[in-house]
Amino acid sequence: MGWNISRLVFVTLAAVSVGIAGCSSSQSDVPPLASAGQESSKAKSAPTGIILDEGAISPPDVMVDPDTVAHLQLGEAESGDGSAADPSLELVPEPLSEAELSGESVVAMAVPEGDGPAELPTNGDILVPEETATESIAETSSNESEPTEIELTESAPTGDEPTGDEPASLLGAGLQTEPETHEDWPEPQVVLVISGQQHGYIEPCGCTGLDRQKGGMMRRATFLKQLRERGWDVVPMDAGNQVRRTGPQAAIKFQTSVKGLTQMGYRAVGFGPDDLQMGASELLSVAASDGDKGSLFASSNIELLAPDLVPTLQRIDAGGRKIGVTTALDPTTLESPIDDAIVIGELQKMLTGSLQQLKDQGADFNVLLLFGTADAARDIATKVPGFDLIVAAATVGEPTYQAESIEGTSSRMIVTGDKGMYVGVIGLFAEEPFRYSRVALTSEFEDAPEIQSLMAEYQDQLKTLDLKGLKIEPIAHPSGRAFVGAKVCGECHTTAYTIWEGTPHALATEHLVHPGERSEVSRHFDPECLSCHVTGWNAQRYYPYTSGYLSLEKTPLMVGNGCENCHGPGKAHADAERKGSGLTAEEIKSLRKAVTLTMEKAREKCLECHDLDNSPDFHLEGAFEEYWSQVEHYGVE
Amino acid sequence: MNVRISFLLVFLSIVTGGVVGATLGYRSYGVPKNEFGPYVLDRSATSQDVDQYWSGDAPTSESAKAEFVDGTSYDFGVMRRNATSTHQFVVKNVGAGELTLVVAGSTCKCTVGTLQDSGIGPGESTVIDLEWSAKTNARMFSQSATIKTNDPTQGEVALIVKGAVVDMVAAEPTAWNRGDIATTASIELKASLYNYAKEPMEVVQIRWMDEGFEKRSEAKIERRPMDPQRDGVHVDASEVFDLLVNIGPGSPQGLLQQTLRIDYRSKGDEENHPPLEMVLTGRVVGALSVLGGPRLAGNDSGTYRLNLGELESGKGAEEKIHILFRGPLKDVAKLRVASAVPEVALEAELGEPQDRGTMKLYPLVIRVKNSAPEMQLSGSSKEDTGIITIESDDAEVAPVRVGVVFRISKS
Repeated sequence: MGWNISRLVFVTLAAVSVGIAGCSSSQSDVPPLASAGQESSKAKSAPTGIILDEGAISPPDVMVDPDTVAHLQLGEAESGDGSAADPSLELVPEPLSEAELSGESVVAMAVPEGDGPAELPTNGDILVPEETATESIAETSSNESEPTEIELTESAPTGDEPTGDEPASLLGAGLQTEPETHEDWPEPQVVLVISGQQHGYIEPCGCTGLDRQKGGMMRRATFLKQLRERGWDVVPMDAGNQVRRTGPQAAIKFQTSVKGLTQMGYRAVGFGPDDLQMGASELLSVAASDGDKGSLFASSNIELLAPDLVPTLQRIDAGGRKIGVTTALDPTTLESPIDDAIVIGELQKMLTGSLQQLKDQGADFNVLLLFGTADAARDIATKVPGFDLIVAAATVGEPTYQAESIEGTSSRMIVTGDKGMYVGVIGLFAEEPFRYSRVALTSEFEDAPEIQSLMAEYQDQLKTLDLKGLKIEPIAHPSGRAFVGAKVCGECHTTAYTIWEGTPHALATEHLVHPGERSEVSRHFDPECLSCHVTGWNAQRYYPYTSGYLSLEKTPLMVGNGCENCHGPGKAHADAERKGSGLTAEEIKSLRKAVTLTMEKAREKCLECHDLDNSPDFHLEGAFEEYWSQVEHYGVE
Repeated sequence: MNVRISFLLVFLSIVTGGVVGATLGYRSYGVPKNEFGPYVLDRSATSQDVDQYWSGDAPTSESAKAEFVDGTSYDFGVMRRNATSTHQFVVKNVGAGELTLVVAGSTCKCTVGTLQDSGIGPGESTVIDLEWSAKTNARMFSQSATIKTNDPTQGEVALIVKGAVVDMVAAEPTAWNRGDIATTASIELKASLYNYAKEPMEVVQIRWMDEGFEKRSEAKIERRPMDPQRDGVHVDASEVFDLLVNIGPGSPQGLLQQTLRIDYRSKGDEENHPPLEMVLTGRVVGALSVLGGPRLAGNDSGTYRLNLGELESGKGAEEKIHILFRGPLKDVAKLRVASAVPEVALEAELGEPQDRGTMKLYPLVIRVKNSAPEMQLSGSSKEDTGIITIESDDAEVAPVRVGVVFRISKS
């Protein structure tokens, strides 16, 4: 009986094994989807696509990347000797067959670039940022037209490179450490190139070296040209805020910017709060529809004078897609009251109407260019659902690497960053979601000659109008005193003058007349450059003081960033020191005191030109001492 | 019998074992668990769902999740120039996995992000200090530091600090932009001045830098109690003053840009602080002014020219522009088209006015008639320009004229 029981147990177990083996082997030619899902979930950081059973998920949009697809296989249910096998799973990377590549027998899903975990570089692949170059002491300008690269701390990424100091745990967790590049994309149906918040920085000036400054319309034009040379259908659009200030120079800059946008083939442009400060008449002269030409501009909630003068939206047919674009301005971004001929409508209501119009017109990809913060964009995505892409332009710093999926909506958001240093590239594809790549407009992009001509034209206009035409009149210095020029100071302060002559401060004006970089165009008629490159101007408000620099011909003694820019106007002091001035000792002493600058005040004074835009290295710890050592001088020596 | 029983037992064992084995095998391998990550494979999942999964919007139960307790943006309000402030952003890990953070960079060297802990367990919190030194001449600042995380839903988070930088005194608004201003109208400007020094402020002088403008101006300044609702971010200032400036009519037509300088000092000081300067910008226009699109030019000094370009004979043309009526008579006086010269080619029509607060807006349609002969008006002289004249039934309102240039030819 014992024998029988043992036999029976053996027979039963054998039957169990056969049953199990039978079931498992019957599935051996079908990858077990459940396991694949579980495994892929765990391995999410790896850039691996998963081969799936055709019948399990059959998405219509298929993308296969042979480099990033792994094949998940089940171990053989039965070993070669016929015994029951261990049915364990094995993840085996395997190249795809031709059939798989063509999608005939399998359906593959790959990670959408930029949207999910991307291929992780090994530590050896991580680029280490270059050390920040030490900025040489140089005259600087607080020039709004001069974009400066964002200066980063040593641990910060430079441009679009990873920092190299991400902890292994972060890398292992699947963090996308590099921005996706459009260079690797397959041919899109159409690419949208997004800019915004230029904020007056139409070109980099070179104050800290052009190779250290991002942005500018010349580089942007070159980038667009390069995209078009690939044969891609390119639709550029801008979220607004071309300028930062008001007055004739800002108006000319606005007109120049719009000319540039037209030349670059922009298809939709919005308004920023600083644009609106120019008033309805200035805006209408460039933004209103012009007969058959239509308008570049569109806004859902900004009405210039009357509702029919500027369109509310743009419908663009490109690459077989019907792209709908509207723009809007979040009223909270306005810092000052604006012209009463401009009416700002309620954001949610107006956008709801525009989106419906776009849908009625058959748009299959809807874009909102919002001049608002990222928070405002998230909010509007919830309140007005349906935009595929929302661009937030009232943002600071650099755009993020990835487009953000806004929680609870189908909208995704990108930000422009500020000063026009980057553009965002959105690729639309037939059978996959859009891809996003941010592009830093570095000196790697050459200056586009046609935009360079436009910049020369801009400088010519400033020259023609002269300071008077630009409504820039000299104003009395707060002290009531007049400027005399560094040469006169040097008659007594010989050592200090010799030291000054040896610094770039002395050549500050010359560097505008004959710029070292982009030397074709002089800048000595541009008030935004002059304010820190001559003597006797208000550095931050871009106007001359009475007796300060007016032109090379009228005020030759006021060239260079002279002594009086820090010490104050010195004519009264110089006159007092001459024999026969008739002043009392007390009066002479008082005038000497008036032009004495303490070290404490010097620290603040330098910042008027060595500001964050034009002299970022001046803001490092200990920078003042380093800079001071190069111009150090004391009293009458 | 024994043999038959044995066969029966063997048979039953095989059947039982087979059924048990088949059941176990089927349960283990025969039926997929019908899930792909978070998606059940009942054929309702789509590629978009899976894309969303990969995009990180559908974190797994094992993911870390970062929650920025008080948001990712902080407004320092008002800071004195050259001062330094720090804000602590609190990050809590509300997910199940270890949250890893790293400060990836900041937008300038004046903003420093410091992370107390780079690895945070589930339910734990840490603090990121963001420091800002207001060593800037700018009035407003906004800087950010980028934090990278392993939270699949927020790979990068930009922490933003912002605020205003003031010297001893701040003004709200900082400038006045009045758009179009009628020549006949007075200009009234208001501002609040906030003193951030501990010592009381003494205003020494308020003056426009243009003498002619200064002569037509009166300024009053009065100290008033702080009103938290009205004064908002400036509520921490030690004093607030109301500034009221009134400028009489008489500015010439055209662009207006004037600087008001306010000299002040702390009471008891001998020297003034650097002055506060506020700029007024706008465009001085007649009671009647004209606005239009890119074809309308020359509106700074009150003369207007509409360029209709090349036109084909027999087809005519039409352009809509707007007449703006400002000033005290806008509600009582009526406008009309006084003339359109040459009559053989031009006609004009005023539409119904719309009330737009400080102005009345009249649409004006200017037409080149279909019947107009071939001709050219290039604007080189008065005789060489078409002129549309709009006038009021009140003699006090000066008429406005719009010059029209065009060329009509066969092709």
